Amino acid sequence: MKNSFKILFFFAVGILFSSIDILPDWLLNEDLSGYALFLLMLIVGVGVGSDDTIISVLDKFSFRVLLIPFVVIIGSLGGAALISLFVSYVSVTEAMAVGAGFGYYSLSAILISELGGQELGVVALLANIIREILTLVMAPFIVPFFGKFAVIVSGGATAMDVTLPVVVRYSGKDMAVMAIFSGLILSLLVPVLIPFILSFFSF
Amino acid sequence: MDIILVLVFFASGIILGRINRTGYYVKSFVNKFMMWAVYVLLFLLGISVGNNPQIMDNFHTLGWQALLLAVGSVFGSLFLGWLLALIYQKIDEYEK
Repeated sequence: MKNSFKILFFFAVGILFSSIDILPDWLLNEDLSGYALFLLMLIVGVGVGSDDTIISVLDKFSFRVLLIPFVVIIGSLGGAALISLFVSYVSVTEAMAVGAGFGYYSLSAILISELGGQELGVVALLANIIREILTLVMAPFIVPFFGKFAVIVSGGATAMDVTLPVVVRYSGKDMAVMAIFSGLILSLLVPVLIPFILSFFSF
Repeated sequence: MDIILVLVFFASGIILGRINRTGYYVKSFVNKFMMWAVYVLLFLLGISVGNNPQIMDNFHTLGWQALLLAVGSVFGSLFLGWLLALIYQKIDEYEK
């Protein structure tokens, strides 16, 4: 929660700075954020590769557990695609790319603004922050209606960190490992799925 | 092209991280650096968004789109998650 405010803060400061025109020209160069993205992807990769806990969590793999992140993928992309049919400004592809953020707003916003345009990047930033907030706020209410996986699937990628406390609180301690597993798989898939969706689908 | 480069950098990072996983120091450096890279990138995104009147004029529309897409993703996931829990429950009952 604290982090999402920080992210929004930096984004807002950027908007503010752009209007007072005190920035050097090289900062406004569009290529710069492209290079920064490549660097970020490299670092995210190093983080993933050097982390042994990821391997140990993947050890907990079973078919039943694996289906949880799978339904999140289908549900998020499908749900967003369904919405896009009623919202005239967003295409099905764009909606699915936003949905494929799974609540991982920082990375998805940056990836989408580079690969799918800034306008969609802003939508991705807001939509995925909203997903995190919705999960935190709705956690006690969705469990009675949608069962024991409710908070995990609603949290998406954030189920491994930010929304893990509400998973444990409202779904139970025994759901913690599943939440981390599902969140981890989804986080790993964000940088793979978003480029894939934006490049291979066009309808 | 950019899309392939993104994946190449991600994959190279994973390989580098695997080869060079010397424990705590790498991890804390990576975490700190990643956080700041994200802040810088979102700051840059803010700057270019601020310079883009088409986005600034439509900010409320984009906000509504974002809210609707978030609700769609969350309820799509909730529905299938509910179905999955139900199926597991039925299987367990059947096997008992």
